[in-house]
Amino acid sequence: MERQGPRILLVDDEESIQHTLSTVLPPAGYTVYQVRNGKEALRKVQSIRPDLILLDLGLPDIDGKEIIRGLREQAIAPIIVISVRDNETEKVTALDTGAHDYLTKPFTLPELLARMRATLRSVSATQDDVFAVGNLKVDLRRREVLVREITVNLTATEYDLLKVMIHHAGNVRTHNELIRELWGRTQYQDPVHLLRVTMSHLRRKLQPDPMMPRYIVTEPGVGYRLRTESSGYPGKAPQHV
Amino acid sequence: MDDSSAHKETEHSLRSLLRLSDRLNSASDLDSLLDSLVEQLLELTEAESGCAGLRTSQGMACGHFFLGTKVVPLSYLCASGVGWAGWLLQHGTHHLTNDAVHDPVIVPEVRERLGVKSGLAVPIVDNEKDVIAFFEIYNKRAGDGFTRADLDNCLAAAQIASLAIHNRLLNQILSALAAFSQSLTVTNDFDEILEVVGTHIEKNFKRRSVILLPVNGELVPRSHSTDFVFGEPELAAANWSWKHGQAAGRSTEILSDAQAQYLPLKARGEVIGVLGIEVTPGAWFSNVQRQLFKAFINQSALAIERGFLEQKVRRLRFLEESDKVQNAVLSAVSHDVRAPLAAITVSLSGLMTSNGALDQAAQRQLLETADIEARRLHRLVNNLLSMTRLETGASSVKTEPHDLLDVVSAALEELGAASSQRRISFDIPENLPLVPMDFGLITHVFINLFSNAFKFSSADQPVEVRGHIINDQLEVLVADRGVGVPPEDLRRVFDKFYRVTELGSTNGLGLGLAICKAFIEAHNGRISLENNPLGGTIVRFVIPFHQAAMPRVGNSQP
Repeated sequence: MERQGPRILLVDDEESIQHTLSTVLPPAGYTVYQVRNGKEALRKVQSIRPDLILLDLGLPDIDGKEIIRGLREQAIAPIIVISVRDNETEKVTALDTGAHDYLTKPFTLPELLARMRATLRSVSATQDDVFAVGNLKVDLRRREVLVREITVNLTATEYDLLKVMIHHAGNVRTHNELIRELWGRTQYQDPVHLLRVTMSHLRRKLQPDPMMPRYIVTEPGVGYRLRTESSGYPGKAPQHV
Repeated sequence: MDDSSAHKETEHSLRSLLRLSDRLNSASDLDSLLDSLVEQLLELTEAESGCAGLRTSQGMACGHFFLGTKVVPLSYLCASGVGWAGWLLQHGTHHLTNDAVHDPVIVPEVRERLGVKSGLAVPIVDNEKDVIAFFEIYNKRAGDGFTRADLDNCLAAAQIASLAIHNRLLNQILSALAAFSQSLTVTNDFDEILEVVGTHIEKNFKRRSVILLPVNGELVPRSHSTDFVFGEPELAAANWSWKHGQAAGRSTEILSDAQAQYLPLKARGEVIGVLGIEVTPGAWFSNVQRQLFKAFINQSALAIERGFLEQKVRRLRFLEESDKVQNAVLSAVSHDVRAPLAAITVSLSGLMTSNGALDQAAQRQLLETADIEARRLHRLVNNLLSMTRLETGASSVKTEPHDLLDVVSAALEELGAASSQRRISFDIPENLPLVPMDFGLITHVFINLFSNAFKFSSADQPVEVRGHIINDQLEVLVADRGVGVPPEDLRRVFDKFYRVTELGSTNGLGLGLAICKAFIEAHNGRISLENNPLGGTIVRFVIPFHQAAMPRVGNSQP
């Protein structure tokens, strides 16, 4: 039988994760190739030619950073790290080394699927003119931002930040990536703080009510993530008085 | 002199000596003993005046001058070789002169004040031939000089006095030791034990001292008299004494350039530390004092060992206590872990074995239950992990400037359906600056506070969140209109595993507020709970930060 859909290389030594993912991913339209350690992954990645790599960082044989580097050398496929370790430094290191995104175990299937979709879309480089999630609608062609159909005035920097986030919607963007994309080689004394403040202004304009689900979530110590309808945005805002 | 007068004189001497012996042995203290000694000597020898004194570490001290029955206020200290007393010290034997006017040794002031023409000075020696005291008598009342018989009587008197003084000194030691033991017994604190040893040594021996104890295998000074200068030679001598279990330092053959002498403190055959005592060159210690010192050292060693043992017991007790806490954690955790696990297991196994007996809604219900419980379990484990890591120092807070609204939003989102059905009002100013905090920890604080607020107030009652900057502190209030907390329980709500019993809640560990407290305190902040005057409770926490230290924020107008 011919295998169909995007090819996923799943690198994880944990039996239960291998078993579960190879059960739930094919019905979602993915073809899963399973390997159980780093050496096998490096050996097979070129013949499998995956579209996306799901990589557990706690492999018994090869250190996380090393395997990311090794896979990047051999394949153009983006890497989503899935790890049980919720460690900021490790996340940033993985992202800096070339991983595309990061997901901490335990995660839900919708979360995983959303990340996979976002990642595959971001590398396919096609971009819609209109981005919409929840009550937020952004027309990139017309530089128009609407919340509940009402125009929101953003500063130039706030708009640029939103635009960058939309380009990578669904995926985490590290502080450093965002600073580079917004200000290039910045001369600001504390660009991270400038980023945080800009982000907090942007968020208050997009989401004036803390009871509403957040469009842009904070990844502590790492950066930010713009949710999409299909990547973890919990739906319509609850009705309240 | 005829036979009968000689006989009479002998009888007089004997009676006088017997009286001397009686009086000395019944003397209440050393001062009255010396007074009695002089009075009896004047009776025995028919001398005009006299004095008696004790040897000190510096020489011969005398404050007991008698002229007949009159006490002459005069006191002096003769170093070896100075005055008759000093001469006795130097030569160890008596001095008799009937021509005091030309005597080169006598202290001139004594000669003039008492008009000394003839005199006899006698050392009082202990059973080890060490001079411990002396007496002097001046001028026979008859006008002639002192005779051989006088000398013999005085030597006999000296022997009687020696025994009496020795007994007195022994008594003194015993009471000093008793006082020392008494002070040590009532001390429980280790440092206090060391202080008692130091002060008693200073009081009884007039010496400065130092106590050195091993810390991680190395000898360090733990307690010392003020002004005790502790240098390299001291440490070297102390270490030698510690390693070899023998005296070292000044007045020994080992490392004698130290200013103090170091003696091992031994308890049950083991050297547990070293005591150093300052030694002045040429200073004298009586045998009795040496015995006392030995006893002091032994007592000190025992007391210090007792202190060590008590510390160990306390540590064991502490471990026992933390064991108890651990057991409580274990039982509480196992309850709160088992409950969601049970729900998950029942739901999933129900689905697997239903064989189509369940309709779609029922299936969905079971799956949702499993999902909710799994998330609850995940939160619980995260909470416990964070707290344990903070408490054991395995991790510290990772603060970044965060938007309070972002944190509150994240917490409400995490609570999902529970929060979306509640009325929550926010009083957080637009221009509230970013505050450095650990995003995950403070989110958990809000999750726990909101869970409590939701749990203990009815769904139609509002929950209020306020956030302000006051005096370089972020102050946050979470208020509910629920059942409140009985006043007697207010103090304990932040204790681990504490639940307000009246509320009869079986849901939850009683860990929520304890976790909040741990997380807030890890931010150097404070958290408190009070009853809301409108009903319910208000939890208030503050996180300090220096606003001035934060980078300035630009304008956000487009």
